Amino acid sequence: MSLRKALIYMAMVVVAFLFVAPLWWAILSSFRPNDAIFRDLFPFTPNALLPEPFSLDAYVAIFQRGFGSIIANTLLVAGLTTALGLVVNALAGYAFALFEFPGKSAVLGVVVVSFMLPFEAIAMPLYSVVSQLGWIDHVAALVVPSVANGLAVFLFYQFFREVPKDYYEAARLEGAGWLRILWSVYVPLSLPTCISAGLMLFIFQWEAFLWPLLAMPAQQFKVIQVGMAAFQDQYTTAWNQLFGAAVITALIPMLLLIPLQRYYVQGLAGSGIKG
Amino acid sequence: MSGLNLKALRKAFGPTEIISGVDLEIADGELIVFVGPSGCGKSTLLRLIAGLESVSAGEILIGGRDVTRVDPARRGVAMVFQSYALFPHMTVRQNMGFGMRVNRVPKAEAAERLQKAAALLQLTELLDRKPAQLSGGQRQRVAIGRAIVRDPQVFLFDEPLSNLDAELRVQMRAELAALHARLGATMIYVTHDQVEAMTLADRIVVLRAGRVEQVGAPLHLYDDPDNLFVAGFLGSPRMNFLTAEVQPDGQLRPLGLDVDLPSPIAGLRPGRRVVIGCRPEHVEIGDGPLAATVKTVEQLGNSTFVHADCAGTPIAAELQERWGTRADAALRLALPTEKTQLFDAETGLRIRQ
Ligand SMILES: Nc1ncnc2c1ncn2[C@@H]1O[C@H](COP(=O)(O)OP(=O)(O)OP(=O)(O)O)[C@@H](O)[C@H]1O
Ligand SMILES: [Mg+2]
Repeated sequence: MSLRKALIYMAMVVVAFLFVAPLWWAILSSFRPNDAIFRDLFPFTPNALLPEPFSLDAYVAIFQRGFGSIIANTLLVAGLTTALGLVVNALAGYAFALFEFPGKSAVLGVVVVSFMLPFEAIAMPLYSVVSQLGWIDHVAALVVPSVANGLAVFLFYQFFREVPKDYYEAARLEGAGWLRILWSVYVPLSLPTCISAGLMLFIFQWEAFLWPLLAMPAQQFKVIQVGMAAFQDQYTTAWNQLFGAAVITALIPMLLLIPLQRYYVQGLAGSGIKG
Repeated sequence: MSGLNLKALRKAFGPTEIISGVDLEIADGELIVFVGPSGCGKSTLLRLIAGLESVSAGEILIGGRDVTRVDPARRGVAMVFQSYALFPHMTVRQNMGFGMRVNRVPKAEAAERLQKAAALLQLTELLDRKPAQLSGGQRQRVAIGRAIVRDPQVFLFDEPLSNLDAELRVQMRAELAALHARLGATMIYVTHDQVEAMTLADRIVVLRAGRVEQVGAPLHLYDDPDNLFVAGFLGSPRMNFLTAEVQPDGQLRPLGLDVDLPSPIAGLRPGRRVVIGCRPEHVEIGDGPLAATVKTVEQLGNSTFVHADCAGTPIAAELQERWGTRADAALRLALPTEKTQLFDAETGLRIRQ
């Protein structure tokens, strides 16, 4: 029995190692001097799994090469999109959930379809719209098209629909207008939804590659995925710097996700509406 | 404080008319109870008064002012919902103060009004709790408190006690009655609990299918119903009904029976179909013209309900003494003529002298 258990644990350790090792190795490599990266790998010594020799050269070099402004650009785009997106999508979801208007179900259908379409399908038409607006190479080209997000609208719609209508009516009787009711009653109740939608919008922008490449051809204003790609082309042999850039790119959304993840999975049950 | 007037009020949802012409005059300070079967439009009528539904036709006047198209918040009404509708993320204080914050009531005045309402409802200790940390009765009081701080002309209650257990209901009923006496405000109260209706109301409005069947003081409706519906709706067990035919000599012969009962009303046209109504507490057991068999006996301690079958018609009798008998025992029943009421079998309307 215990042998069996031991074997199972062994297998689990091996699997975990297989998953974690490349990640770990990438992180380590970003903390080594470039010439030491492959040293302990062929032939393999356990030293390959330790940050040894330790060096911050890679990070220093990355930031000297302007990676800092790339991060700032991306934070600006993603932050603006998230902030505007929360407002716009929450308002849209609220309207769908609470108001009756002609053609409502048809419009809602379009919203649902819109987030099922792959981005590649709308990239070219979107490009022509944006270029006619004269936004090519402007930050607006990155932010504005991503603000309205069908999935975020749908998330808000789903949540707001479940909020008892009595809250709306009680607040109405107290003299609150619909905007005030949204802000004072619906938004506080929907914090988990706001966080889910916000994270979604943020990560969508953080991972955007194809669209920024198309919309910002001058490459004056680079966002992180584009910057990473350019970096790879330019410095093919600076492995430690490549790994450093990759680690930073992965780290920032993770820093957001980890403290907020319990909201990400939290549904209506935890919002205090029931009971 | 002021009264309320409904004039030929109608409400239709699409093609279906839910409220079909309600006329009602409610005096200042009155406590009116709407009762009626489920789906008869009680809540809809209340929501029309509150302004949560738009009126299809007719007028609503509060304190003599036409509010038919006035915004719900400007009608001077406050509503207590069946679900209480307390905002779960706000404390009791914030819940009660919400309306005053929205309307920018000066802080000092708002605090004073809130303290007063809280003291009246014994909520002072609970002001910093969230609704989830309150018992059902306390939530109920907060919901009432939220209404009171607005100092409305008319209070509207939609089945406010139906989420409470039986004991708490009795207690809250008494508190509501005391509150009404104390505030002297006009109140409209929807329930389908007869006991609530009978004990709380100054006047009861019996609704059926969007129409007012009868309006009156509780005992007046109980003793002197205008039609079969009202007679059958109030009272538990409900009034006994026997369909009968008027004989040439003016006596009444219940269908399927071979006895004639004297009529409380003289001069009915022979051959007319009528319904004899008699409350269970007036049915006499022991000696009488009607032969029946006992179905069940309910011993409540202070009284006994005997459910019997009289040639296919169920008859309930309420006795003040304890009375032990088996099921299937044979009985004789009498319906004292002066206590019976007659209704037209076709229209259901009361036949009066
Ligand atoms: N918004 C609406 N749209 C369509 N029909 C409605 C709407 N609101 C209510 N109704 C209908 O109106 C009728 C009366 O409803 P209402 O809620 O007033 O009944 P009620 O007397 O309060 O019943 P209960 O005792 O069950 O609360 C019902 O048949 C209901 O289906
Ligand atoms: Mg109702």
